[in-house]
Amino acid sequence: MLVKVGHCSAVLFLAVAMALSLSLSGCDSNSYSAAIRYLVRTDPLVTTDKLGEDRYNPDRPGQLPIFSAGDLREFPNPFFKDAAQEKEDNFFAQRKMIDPTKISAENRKTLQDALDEFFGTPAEPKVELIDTQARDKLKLSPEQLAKGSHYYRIHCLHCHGVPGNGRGPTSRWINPHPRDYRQGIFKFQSVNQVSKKGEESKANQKPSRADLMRTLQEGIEGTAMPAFNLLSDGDLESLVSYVIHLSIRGEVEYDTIKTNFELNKDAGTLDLKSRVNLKKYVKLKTPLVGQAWLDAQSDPIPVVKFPFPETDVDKMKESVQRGQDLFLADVEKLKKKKIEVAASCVSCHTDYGRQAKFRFDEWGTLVKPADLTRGVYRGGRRPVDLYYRIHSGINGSGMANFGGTLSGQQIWDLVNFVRVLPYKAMREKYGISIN
Amino acid sequence: MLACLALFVIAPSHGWWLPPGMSTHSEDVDFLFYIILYITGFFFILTEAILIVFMFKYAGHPGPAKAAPSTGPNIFQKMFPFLRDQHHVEMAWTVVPAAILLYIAFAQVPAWLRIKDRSKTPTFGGKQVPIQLEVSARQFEWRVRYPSSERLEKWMKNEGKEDFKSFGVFHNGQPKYKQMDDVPAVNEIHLWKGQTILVHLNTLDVIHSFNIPFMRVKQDALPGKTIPVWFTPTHANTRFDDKKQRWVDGINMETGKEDRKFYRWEIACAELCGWGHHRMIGRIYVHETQSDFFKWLKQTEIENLSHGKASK
Repeated sequence: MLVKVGHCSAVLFLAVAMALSLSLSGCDSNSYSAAIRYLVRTDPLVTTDKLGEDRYNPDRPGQLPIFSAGDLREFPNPFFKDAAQEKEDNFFAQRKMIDPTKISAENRKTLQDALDEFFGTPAEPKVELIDTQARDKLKLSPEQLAKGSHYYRIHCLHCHGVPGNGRGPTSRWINPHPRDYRQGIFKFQSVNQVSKKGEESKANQKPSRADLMRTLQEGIEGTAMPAFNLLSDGDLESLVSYVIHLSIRGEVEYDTIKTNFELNKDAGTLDLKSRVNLKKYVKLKTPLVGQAWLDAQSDPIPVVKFPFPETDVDKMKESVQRGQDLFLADVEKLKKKKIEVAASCVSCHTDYGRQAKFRFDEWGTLVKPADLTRGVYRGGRRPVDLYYRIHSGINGSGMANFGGTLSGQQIWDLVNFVRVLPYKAMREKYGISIN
Repeated sequence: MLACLALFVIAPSHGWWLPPGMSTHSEDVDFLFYIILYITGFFFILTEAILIVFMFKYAGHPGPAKAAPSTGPNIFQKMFPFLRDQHHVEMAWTVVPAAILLYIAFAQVPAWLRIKDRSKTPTFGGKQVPIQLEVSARQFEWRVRYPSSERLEKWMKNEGKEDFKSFGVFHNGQPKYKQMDDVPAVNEIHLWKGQTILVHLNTLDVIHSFNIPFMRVKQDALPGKTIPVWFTPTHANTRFDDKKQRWVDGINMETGKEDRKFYRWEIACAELCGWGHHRMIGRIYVHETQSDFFKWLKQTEIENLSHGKASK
């Protein structure tokens, strides 16, 4: 046919086809189109970390358990048994999960409009309603966010998703699954989670910008999060700003749906509570979340001075052995040494983590207490990183914080023990056995 | 065709060519590369030129079948009447390529021996003790594990043979004797000029390929296996930047000038390994002297053993 239309049209046709295939394959400006919006979420909100029993197997490859309410009853889903055994939608009736697809179209639109107004679109992200001081300190200016959005689309989107929901195209195939920012909970940080008596609760405090930066630069060993240390510091800073933006937006959305809607058990719909104005609620909530982020920037974990010179082998030996006693919570031994509190790490890290079970976390995914004999530390392998983990726990994962019950010296003992644990030669040198 | 030829001539002077070799492997590899390029290039141009000349020369010619109808019984003999029973031609196009291939086969033996043969793996007793490190490929980054500076210094003085050997012992592709004082790094490999480096290459997930074009190194990383790779850089590209307070690469250390094009040496993954294959990039930092390298290693070591700033 091409021969008939003649050479000129054939060349024209080929040129058009080539231009089309290039543009369709994504060879464009690497920025979001202005038409793309953050939509109100459709996947269930998880409100508890007690979604089922502990188990030995994680969810299978290619599966992220909570994509939609319907998914829960599909066969290899870890919720399959629990959801099928209960005749009713147990999770939803007990508000362990909330299905936002049951919100009426009208309310959904109101919420969508309110969020769009204050947080913009992926092409033009912004955070309004927080005061200028917070915006400066958290670096949430529209220019910074636009730059962050550009890099997020290139480097982060396919795992973490457009609204930071941890449900990008590759998320199903990655275990542990990518982080969902929309609950405002972050695991690895150096911000104090332990409140003193009389203080406000500091549970699930936000991370500092430096913590997010460190995660980007170093990656998370033992997971699919790679290191981005070849990007410039300025680019990474803008990514941190954008992640904070997504997290604030997501948390406001999460909290608005969780607080203002009730399940109508007869109709199965989510109804707005009486006398609630969604837009007003968003307006009230956003500054609070912004303030929480701001507070976290100046509340680092207090680190006690390392108690002896690092090269002192005898003191190290004693410290490591004290650490093991604390880890195992051996009451008799501890009594002899006149130590009262016990951390009892072993109750979760069974057999030093070698036989630990998977459990549900606050995002509704399965996680496992670390196998400490492997020497892989997701939150960083510096001694001070381990100190942070023991002092303030790991938010959302079920790892409790021990900063309130253990003294600084005891935490260092545990850190020393955990650092020695994976290496046979070191265990022999410091006189401990783990068999 | 002409444009391609022109490009072929212009490319090297514009740097669109094999990058300059910066290690002792480059002599062997470049020799083989060019010899094969010249042979294949010569025959490619020859055959294409003949084809084009004949296209014009015989355009509109009725063709052999009509010009001289065959009398042979076989349909193939009818189709190709001119190619019957010409054994000397067949001999020529069999023997000449065979000879060329045989030449290439023998010419590459010494290169293979020096670069890949396991019996030539640099070891403790050799001329120069190599610095050894483990590189774990992973979707999508290179995780590097160095021995501590203390142990490395011992090895350099020809001490601690057992320790040296145990670093390179792997079981199921994973190190068997990790040590507490090992120094981890991500996406960067440091070494110094003239020092042989022995990399124990493995992968934590799928097949990757450890490719450093400037060093003429390319080796697939296979799951469950640990493969030794070695090379010796002959040029340095790194110095300490006082303003930025860190080591920067991309410096031509002979002239002291920045030259990112030829002195920024990437480790690229050369085996499609997933969506992030394109961004699986590391860098090679070659220090000018051994003491510079140890300065970097000790600094990294201190950062990795940080006990934090005490707040009380």
